Amino acid sequence: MRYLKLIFANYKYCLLRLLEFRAEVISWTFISVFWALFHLAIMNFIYDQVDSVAGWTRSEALVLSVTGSLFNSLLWFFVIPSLLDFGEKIRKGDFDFYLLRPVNPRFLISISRFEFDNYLRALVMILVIIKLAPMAAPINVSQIIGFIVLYAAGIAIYYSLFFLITTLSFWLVNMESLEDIFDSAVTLGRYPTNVFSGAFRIIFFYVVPMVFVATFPVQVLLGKSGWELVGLGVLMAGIFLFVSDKFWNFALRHYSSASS
Amino acid sequence: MRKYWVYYKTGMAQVMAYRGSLLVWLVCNFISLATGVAVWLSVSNRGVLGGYTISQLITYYVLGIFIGWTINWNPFPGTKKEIKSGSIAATLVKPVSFLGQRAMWEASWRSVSMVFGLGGTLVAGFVLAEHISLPNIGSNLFLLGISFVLATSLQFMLGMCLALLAFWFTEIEGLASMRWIALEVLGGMAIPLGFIPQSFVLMVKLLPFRYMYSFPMEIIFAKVSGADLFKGLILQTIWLAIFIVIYRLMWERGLKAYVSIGQ
Repeated sequence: MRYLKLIFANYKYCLLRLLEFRAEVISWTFISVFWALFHLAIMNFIYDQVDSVAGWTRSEALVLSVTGSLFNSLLWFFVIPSLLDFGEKIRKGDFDFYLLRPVNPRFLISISRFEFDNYLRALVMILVIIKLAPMAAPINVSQIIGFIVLYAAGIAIYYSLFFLITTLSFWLVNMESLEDIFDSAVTLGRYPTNVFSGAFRIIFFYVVPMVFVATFPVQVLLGKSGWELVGLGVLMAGIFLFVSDKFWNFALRHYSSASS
Repeated sequence: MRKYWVYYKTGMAQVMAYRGSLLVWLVCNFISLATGVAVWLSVSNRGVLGGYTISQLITYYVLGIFIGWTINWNPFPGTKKEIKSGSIAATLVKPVSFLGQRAMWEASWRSVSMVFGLGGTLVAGFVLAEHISLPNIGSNLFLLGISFVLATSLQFMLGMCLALLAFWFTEIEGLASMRWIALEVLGGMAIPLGFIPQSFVLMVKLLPFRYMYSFPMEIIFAKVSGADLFKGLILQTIWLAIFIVIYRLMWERGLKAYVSIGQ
């Protein structure tokens, strides 16, 4: 309950701070929608020339692209902004104050910043998925639930992965290109990941699991795969959360303050 | 000229501090390239798509690493920062052209990024050798060079014009982002313009974005030749002249609106 209150308190603080710059929020809100539409347009241009890509038809691939955009929006809601903030705090020595508070520092870091300019994009993408998915395949309640669970597992996996990478800031103080790495990892999940084979397949399935951005959730939603994928997603989420937590504790033991 | 050379040398020193970031960006490029190549190799129709064969499409993206890192001049962040922070006041009292100074900073950055881009292209080309279709640009090399210079100048001037909006508006990052969307879709950076539906072709040919990236690529892959090539070069020149005029007007009005405090 205490942790929930902290989330809402920080959410409200970030929202009030952002509303001081209303024009900026409005402009970025519409620009983020434009970016999502841009990716949809590119997918459409490709499918004007081909019938399928790796066995995915146009309507299936559009659902995939939109699902990828939604995933990006959700990560940019609080995961990525908070982690980028974390790197900055270590550089400036502000991280020490997080260690002094009577709250789990990892929790505090993970909810330190909320960004609201992707709200409209997320909403638009959800509406588009609701419209497009039934056109690609018949949908039932079980598939929808499986999609949501797998999606949540995907967010947990990416949160853990990005947290693990950001924890390297304890040693590599200057990690300015983090945002580009995160963006690349998520943006590419818009494409069907079964286009890869060999070593790339292993990397994009297990190391940087792009499959959980959109491919696996959409496969479950469209009935192309069953609950075994959901189970795999939940298992992977558990593993990634465990590993990132272990690494975090290891990093904390070796942290030396920048003298705040 | 020597004073501008100093800006170039100082810029080079600064760029070398970011060589780690350049490497990361190159890795991100490789990831994008790997995905793009995998997608094109998985399409159902393996003939000519958007006017390009699959090999040409893959070559388009491989060459795009070097070309993008060479011609995508982006003075926007540095110029905007200089105006917003007030450090432009120090430049205004010096006997240097602000445009020249920014061009030298950008040139120093591109001198290094071009090397990274070339390295990246060569590595990608080596790995994907069996899928590459090297274009023959021998006869158009001179015109390609002119087109490159014009495309680079167009990107630079667009970035400068957008950055000068900082004289009047507090938040202009959104416009910079829209510029990249326009370049990706209408400039051919995300996908060759041959894929754009016919109903948009006239708009694409009239707007400046094609001439900032796609047009040099079209020369490389012999998608334009003869009279169309010369028309394209003329349009590049006309757009460059337009952006120069817009820049001069914005600069004069911006200086009148600008107030420097405590510099």
